[in-house]
Amino acid sequence: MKMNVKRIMASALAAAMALSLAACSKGAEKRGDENQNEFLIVGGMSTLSSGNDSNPVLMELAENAGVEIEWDLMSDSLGEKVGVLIGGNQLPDAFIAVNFSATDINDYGEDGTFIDLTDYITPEIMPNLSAILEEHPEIKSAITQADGKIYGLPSAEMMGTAAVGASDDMSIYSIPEFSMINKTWLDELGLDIPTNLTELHDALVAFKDNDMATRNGNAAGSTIPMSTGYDQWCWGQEIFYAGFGFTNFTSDVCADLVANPDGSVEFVSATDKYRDAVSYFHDWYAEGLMDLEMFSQSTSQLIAKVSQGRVGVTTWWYIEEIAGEHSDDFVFLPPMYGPEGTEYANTRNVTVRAGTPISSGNLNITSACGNPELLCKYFDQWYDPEIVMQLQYAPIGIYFSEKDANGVWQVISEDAAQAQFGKSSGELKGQYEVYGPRLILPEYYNSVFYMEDRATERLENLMNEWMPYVDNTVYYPADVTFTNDELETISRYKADFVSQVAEYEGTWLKNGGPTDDEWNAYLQMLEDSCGMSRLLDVYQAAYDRYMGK
Amino acid sequence: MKSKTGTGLSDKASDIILVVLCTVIMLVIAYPLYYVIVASVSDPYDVYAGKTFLLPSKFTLEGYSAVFANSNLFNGFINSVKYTIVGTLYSVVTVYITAYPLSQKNLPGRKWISIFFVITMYFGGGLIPTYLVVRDTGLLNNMWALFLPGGVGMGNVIIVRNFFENNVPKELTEAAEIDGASKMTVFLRVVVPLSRSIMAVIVVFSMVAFWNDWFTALIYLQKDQYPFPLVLRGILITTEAMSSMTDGMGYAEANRMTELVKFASMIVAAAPMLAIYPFVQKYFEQGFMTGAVKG
Repeated sequence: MKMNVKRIMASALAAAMALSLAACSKGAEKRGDENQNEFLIVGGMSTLSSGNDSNPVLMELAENAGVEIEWDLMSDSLGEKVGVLIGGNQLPDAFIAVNFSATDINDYGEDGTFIDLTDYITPEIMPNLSAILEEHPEIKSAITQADGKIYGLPSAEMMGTAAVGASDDMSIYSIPEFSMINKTWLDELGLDIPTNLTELHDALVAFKDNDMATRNGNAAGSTIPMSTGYDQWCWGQEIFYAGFGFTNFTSDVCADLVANPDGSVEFVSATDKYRDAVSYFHDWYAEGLMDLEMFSQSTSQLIAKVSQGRVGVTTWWYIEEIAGEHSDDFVFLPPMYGPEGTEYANTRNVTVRAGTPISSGNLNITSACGNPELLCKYFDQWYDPEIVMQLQYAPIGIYFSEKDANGVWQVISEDAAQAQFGKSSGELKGQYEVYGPRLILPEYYNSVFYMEDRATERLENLMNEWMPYVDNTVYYPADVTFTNDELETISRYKADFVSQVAEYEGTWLKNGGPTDDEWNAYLQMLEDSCGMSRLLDVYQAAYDRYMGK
Repeated sequence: MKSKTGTGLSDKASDIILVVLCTVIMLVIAYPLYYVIVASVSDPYDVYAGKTFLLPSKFTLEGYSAVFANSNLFNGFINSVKYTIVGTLYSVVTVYITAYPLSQKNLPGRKWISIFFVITMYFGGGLIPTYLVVRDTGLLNNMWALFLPGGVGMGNVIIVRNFFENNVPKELTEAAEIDGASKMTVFLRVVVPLSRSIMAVIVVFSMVAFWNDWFTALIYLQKDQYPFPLVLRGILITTEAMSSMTDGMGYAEANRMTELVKFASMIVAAAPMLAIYPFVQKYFEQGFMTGAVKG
């Protein structure tokens, strides 16, 4: 009897293994022949979107190209669903708005899931895109893999200071953190806006000693001289490191990676100035000037504190948003010089970060597609300025009303939107916005359509009030491409490196800066277990290629 | 039980202490729930500023109105009720018909079958292979994809098997057999009625599990088949999407809505389970203890 059970189990196991092997070895089935004109496209959409089927712009585009597209779109948990489809070999004709990572694009390109589009990006098949790539070689190099192939169509939103008249276009994300100080409190205490970290320190002490928050009706002892997050994207403490000559803003590439004007790259978290900055700010933390909750708080908690009038200094994307009814109290606090009486007394520099990368992970045609040429022809229409405008926002006749005297499209007024559609213009945008290979070039702003007011305002602030503090505008670009080997090194070490650096920085801020022994042990650890110099070699090599060396 | 003077507490005093102690414990358990209810009708920034210790601040029902304005919500609720009822029935039936044979000492290969089942508690096929099986068996977009791939809940089987072994007297089943009952009759007329308390445990376990399950539905089902938690999750993600940095209404304002919806949907999601729980609670306590003790 026992033997029988064993035998049954063994054969059941064998059968299960055979089944799973069979599933893996099955190749991708073509969904149609070379005359295919019906396509299935799987991908992402805005959570607010009412779907692509009812979008008048897309209907027209499909008709123009003579295609029929079945959209299977979702707004959340896209990653799991796509993974399951690719793993299960149930490929659609194309994936849209999945935002595949560089590693994914490389892997799926190599194993044949995605097809090389180089042969289709020609003036005959894709006239619009070819012209753009001709004019913007940087876009072409950003989407071309290290092996010379292109596995996806480009997408990017290149929002920068060029749109407000700067000669050197800097992304709106160059300086994500604008520091700000409570001017009303300064005035009441008879203090000027600080210019260096020593003065700022004294102002913070004065805020605390005089318990300024009580003047806004808060309980005694509730003043928080300075509240930020820790290494957070637009609300971290990094802008204050400018007094030590750097700002290690969060990065899409790798934390603390900076490019120097001479073309070399380095990790700022392994430099002496970094060590000095972290040691210096520990004193602030220990004195209770920096928020004790800075390591754990959420944006909601920070907004709550600042908008209740409890905070003297903070950082955010811009003032009005975080300070609410206390907005008028705050003014920009420009980057500080280093502490008086130290070697940093004349140091003040902001390291800018890269803008959003140009991605080739938002339209990828798969090997299941029988007629990629037609699909490329269809998607070429997406690269027309007025079309991409309508995909980014909403159709002409709904969101855009008419062209003004300069030939720029006007957005429907709030009153008209409410009267015609019973919705705000923001809601209209949410409903009609289409995710996918949208490429918004800098020259579209204010010539095809106007930038939103708040974005314009932030760019103007960035250009006029913040860029003057940037010694050099060199940054490590977000759309550098890596070879297979390089990607392997990155995926092996980067996560450890980033988390170790963050952990030590936090520990030192909290408990006091590193002794010589601790600092050396830290450098040794980054080198031995986090592959620092290997990572640096990879980033340097890729950067050199990008710069055309 | 009255103790001698000076060496212990009177009944009255110990009563008072016990009542006070129980009240404190109850408050400690109930307060977080109460706090979420208060938070769901208060301005979130006041919540984070600590102004809602006992009473709501800047009372608002915006969170609830955003949750209930969603047209999929009712549909999701109906779906969830359906999946929970069917899933619970399925789960109880499969657990019973697995546990009963395993509790019979004369079952051939009992030990090996048990081991085989236990292995499934620790090893699974992984997401993608399981998806392939579901796809190839044609269960995609079918409610049964939520139940069938999981088979039988082995943890529950062990609890029920222990119950059968220790709490259903052999004498009773033997007496029934002597009176002429078939094996089936013994199971249906003697064993099942005697195990009502453990059945309540399994019902509650399965009910909560199926009510809360969203991931399986996300992978195998289509949008109009989504259960309640997935719909709520969708609403939350939608409001979160409004809080973009460069457009829309602005982050702080949109984030206010996100936080409100977060608290409101917690209450909405938990309410049905909270409402049902008191009715099965008395069986639950009884059954949970009996199944847990090994004889």
